[in-house]
Amino acid sequence: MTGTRTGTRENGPDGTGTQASGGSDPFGMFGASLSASMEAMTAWSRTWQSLLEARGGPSASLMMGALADPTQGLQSVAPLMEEFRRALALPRFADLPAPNGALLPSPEAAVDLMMLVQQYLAAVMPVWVKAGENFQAEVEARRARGETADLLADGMDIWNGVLDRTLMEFNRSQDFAALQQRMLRLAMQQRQDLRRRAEMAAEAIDMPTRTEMLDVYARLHGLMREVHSLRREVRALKAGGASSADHAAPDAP
Amino acid sequence: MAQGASIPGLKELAEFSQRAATAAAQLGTVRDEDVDVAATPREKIAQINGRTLYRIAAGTPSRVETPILVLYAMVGSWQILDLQPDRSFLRSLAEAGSTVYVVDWGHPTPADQFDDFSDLVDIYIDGFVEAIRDRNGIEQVNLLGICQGGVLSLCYSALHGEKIRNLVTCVTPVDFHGDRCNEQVERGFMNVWTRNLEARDIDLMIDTIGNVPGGVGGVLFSMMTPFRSLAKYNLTLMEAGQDRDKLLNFLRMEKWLADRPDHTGASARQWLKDLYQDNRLYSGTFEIGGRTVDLGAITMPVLNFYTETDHIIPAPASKAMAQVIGAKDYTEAPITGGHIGVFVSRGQAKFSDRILGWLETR
Repeated sequence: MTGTRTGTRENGPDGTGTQASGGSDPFGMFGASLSASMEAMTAWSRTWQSLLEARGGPSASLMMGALADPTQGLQSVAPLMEEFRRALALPRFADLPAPNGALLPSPEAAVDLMMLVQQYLAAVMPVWVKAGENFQAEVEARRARGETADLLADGMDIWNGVLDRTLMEFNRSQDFAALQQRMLRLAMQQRQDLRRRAEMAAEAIDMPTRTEMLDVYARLHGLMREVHSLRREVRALKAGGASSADHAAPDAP
Repeated sequence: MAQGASIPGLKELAEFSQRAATAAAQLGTVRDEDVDVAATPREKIAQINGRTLYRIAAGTPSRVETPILVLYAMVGSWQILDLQPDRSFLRSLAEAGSTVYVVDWGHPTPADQFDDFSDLVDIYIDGFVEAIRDRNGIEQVNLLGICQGGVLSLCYSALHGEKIRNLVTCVTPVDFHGDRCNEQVERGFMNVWTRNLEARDIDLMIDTIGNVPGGVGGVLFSMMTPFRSLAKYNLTLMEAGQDRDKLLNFLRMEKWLADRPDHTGASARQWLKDLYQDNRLYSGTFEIGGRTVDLGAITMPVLNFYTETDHIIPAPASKAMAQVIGAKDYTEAPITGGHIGVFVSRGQAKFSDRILGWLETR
C-alpha cells in the first residue's frame, strides 16, 4: 500500500504541478502576495513618476529656478501659477462635473503687485538719499553765496524744492517708467479677474453683467449717432428747401 | 537763564505755533457750502446727453457782436474759468463787452465711454454751435478753446470752418512731441509718461476700465510736482489760513481740483495714442469719423496764446501751430503764468481786453 500526500497535485499546462489552495506552503502564499503587491506598487510607482514628469516637472523646475535666483523669482509669480494650473488641470468628462477653477481668485496679480511695491521701495530709497545729498549741497551753496537758511521755514522751503526736483527726475527715469508700466498691467489684470468672478456670480442670480451693459451702451451709442446724423440731414434739407423757396418766386406780384 | 540769553529758534517756533493755531481756527469755521465756485449767474441754453451749454448772464456785446463759445478741456471742470467773483475769466470776458457761452462736459458715466473725438466734435460741439446760431440768428460764432478744448476747437474749425468767424486758442498743444526739442525736468511730464507706455498698455487700460477715472489724471498732475502737491497742506494752507478770504480762495481751488470728471474711454484712447504717442495732429494724420483733421484747412483768423512757464503743455508744443495752420491771419501771443494761471489771476481784465481787442477788428 502506498501513502498519499495530503491534498492533490494539479498539473499545470507544462505538466508542472502547482500547489492547490489549502495547500501547506505558507511561504509560497506569502511570496505570491508579496510579489503581487510589489507588482502593484511598481505599477503605481511608474504612474507616479510619469505624473511627476508630465505635470510636476515644469513647476518644480520653475520653483528651483526661483529658489536659486531670488531676483528672478521676484519678477512675477504668474508663470509659476500658470504651471501649477496646468499641472492640476484634467480633461473633460462628459458625465462628471468639471471643477471650475475660474471661481477661485487668481492670486498672481495681487502677489505680483505686492512684489512690485517692494521693487518700488527698492528703487525709491536711493532717491531719498540723493534728495538728502542735494539738500546739503543746496544749503552749502547758499551759505557760499552769503545767503542764510537758518529759519525753519527757509529750511522747509529748500527741502520741498530739492525733494520735488529729485522726485521729478526719478519720475522721468526709465526705472520709474518700467515700474509704472508693470503696475498698470498688473492692476488691469487684477481688475479683469475681479470682474470675471463678479460676472459669474451675477449670472448665477440673473443680474445684468458688465459685458451685457457694455453691449447695451454700444447699441445706445450707435443709435445716438444715427439720430444726430438724421438731424443734420433734416437741417440740411430744410436749409436747402428754404433756399429753393427764396429762389422760386422771382415773378411773384 | 542769564539775562539777555535766548534759546535759538524758540521765537520762530512760537510764531509758527501761533500761525498754525490761527489757521486751524479759521479752518474750523469754514464749511463746504461756504466755498462757492462758479457763482456767476448763467443760463442753460441746450443739453445733449450729459453735456450742457450755458450762457454767462453778465455783460453786453458792446465790443464784439459775434458770440464767443468757450471750450474747456474734459480734464478737470470748466468751473476753473469762473473760480471766484474777482477771478472769473468768463465774467471778465463778458463784462469786457461780449456774449459768452461755455460748454460743461459734465461727469461722464459708463454709458458715455464710447464717445470719441467724432462725437465730441460732430455731435456735441456742432450741436451747441447750431444752438447758438439759431438763438442769435447768425451764421458764425467765435470759438475760444483752452488746452484740450483748444485741440477740440482746432478739430472743429478744420472740419466745420464755415461756422467759425475767429478762433482763439490758449495753452493748446499741437506738436505733442514738442517737449523733445527742449527737455526740462519740470516740463512735459505727461509727454514723457505717455511715450514710456506702449500702445497696447493704453488699449489694455481703456478696454478694462472704460472711462479713465479723473483720479488718474489727478495722480499724474501730482507727479509733476510730487512733493509740492503735498506740501501745500502744511506751508501754503497755513499761510492762507491767516485770512478768511485767502483761505476761501485756497479752498475754492481745492474744491475745483477735487472735482475730477472721468474722461470718456474712446476719446481718451485717441488722446493718449493718436495724439500723445503718435503725434498725429501735427503730422496731419489724425482722423475723426473717417475724416482727416487738416490744420491747413483752418483759414479763419487765429490767435494763439501760450506761456513759456507752462509745465503741462510746453511752449514749443503750442507754438508749433504756426507751422501747420492754414490761416494767413495768425497771431502768436505769449502770456505770463502757469498752465491755468492766467485764468485765475488778478489780471483777468487785461487778458480779456487783449482777446476782445483782437476780435473786435475781425
